[in-house]
Amino acid sequence: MMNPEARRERLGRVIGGVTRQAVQDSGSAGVVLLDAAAPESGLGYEWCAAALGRERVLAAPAPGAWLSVGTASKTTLLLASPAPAALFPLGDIYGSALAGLCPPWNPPAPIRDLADAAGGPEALDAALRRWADERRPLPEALAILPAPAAALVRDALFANRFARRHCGLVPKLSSRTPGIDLWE
Amino acid sequence: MRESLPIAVAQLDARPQELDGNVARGSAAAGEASVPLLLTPELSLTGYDLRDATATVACPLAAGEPLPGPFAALADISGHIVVGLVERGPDEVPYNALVLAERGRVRHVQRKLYLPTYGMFDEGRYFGRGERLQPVALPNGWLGGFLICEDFWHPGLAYVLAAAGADVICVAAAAPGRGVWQGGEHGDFASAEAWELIARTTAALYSVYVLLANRVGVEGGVSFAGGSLIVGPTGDVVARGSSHGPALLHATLDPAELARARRPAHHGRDDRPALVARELQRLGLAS
Repeated sequence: MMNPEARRERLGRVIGGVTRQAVQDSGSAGVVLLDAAAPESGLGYEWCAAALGRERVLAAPAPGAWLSVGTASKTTLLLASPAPAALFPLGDIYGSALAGLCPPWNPPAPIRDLADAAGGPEALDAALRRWADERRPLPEALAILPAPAAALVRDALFANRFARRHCGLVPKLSSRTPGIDLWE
Repeated sequence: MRESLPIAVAQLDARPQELDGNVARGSAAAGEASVPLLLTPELSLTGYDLRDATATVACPLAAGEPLPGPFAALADISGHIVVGLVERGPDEVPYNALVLAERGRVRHVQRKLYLPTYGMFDEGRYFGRGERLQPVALPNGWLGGFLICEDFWHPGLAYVLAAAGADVICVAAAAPGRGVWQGGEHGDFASAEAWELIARTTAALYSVYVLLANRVGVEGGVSFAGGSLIVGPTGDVVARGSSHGPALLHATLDPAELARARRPAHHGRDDRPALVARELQRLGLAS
């Protein structure tokens, strides 16, 4: 169950299924990957290509109806406002976990700053997990962080409420998923 | 007198509002299963995430009458089939319903009693609540009870069915998958393990067969978890569907197996529904 390869296959299968259905439901020709240079994009490409076929996954915009795909992690969707996309296939996987699947860790600058303050990406995600997935009250969830970092994370969560509610489609993998059942 | 009953559980996908396609999927499963009783998932003929289309796909249902509209095509099925659709009640309220049909005619309708309205679920916004739980005669002398998804998480309902003499509890579900990072022992979703725990516990406690038909497929960002089950009356898993893709599970309900399960376990014999009812009344919980 904890086999990394099995996990990767499992995640790819579920994310691929959502991607395939989204393309079908939207009448799109396929998907176009935004942030194609990011390390996470390789993982997005792998899973989208497995679901759709390589010819239906583009690395740059093209004429026709293509579904835009962002590579933001759950950490980024919770705390920052990524460039808009119709689908965030990696959006229910925390950034530090994603780094284990496709190193190196490559967050947007605001997330890197928050992780530095928190004591590292794992510490930041542990606090977010306590809040989002374990449903602890925010002060209790953030109590594992140094006080200045907790204040920064709290402010970022507050400031990002609108973007978090109105993000694109995120394949549900966890107990609470941005855009599906995480409305705080 | 009960006789052996071949049954099947169809783990199906369904597309919201695509009634003809969903009926075709149900008919194909019934043809392939070729058994006297086939159970399909919750809302198997309408799809799950209907929202404002709930009223559009709702149809009136009456015992003894043919299934209306596109569902009439189920008349070609030779055995009994249990399907999920939206009933439009005489009060014009839509109900999430499970229908036992025989050659396209309605034999029994069970409305969903507990409508999940939390987290990702919004059923209380679109459906009316059912108010009655009624066991029903199944082929070959078996007595069945129907529960719909969330109903199975309220163990008092399985208790009522068992106390009323049900031999087999049929559960139709559209349960989403969660816990993909962790994974499950038998599939992609850790959340499936709770369903199996409940199914096995219910079967073992009441010495009944439990049939669980869960959806597969995707609606929006949600993947349905599959993992359909046939559980024997000792709580052993007889058949299990995968977490991805349609499946057809087969078993034969065996009266001798039921008797063997009930012989050493005296819970059913010793149970006192009147005591439960009396205590619920005394505590002010049943009025």
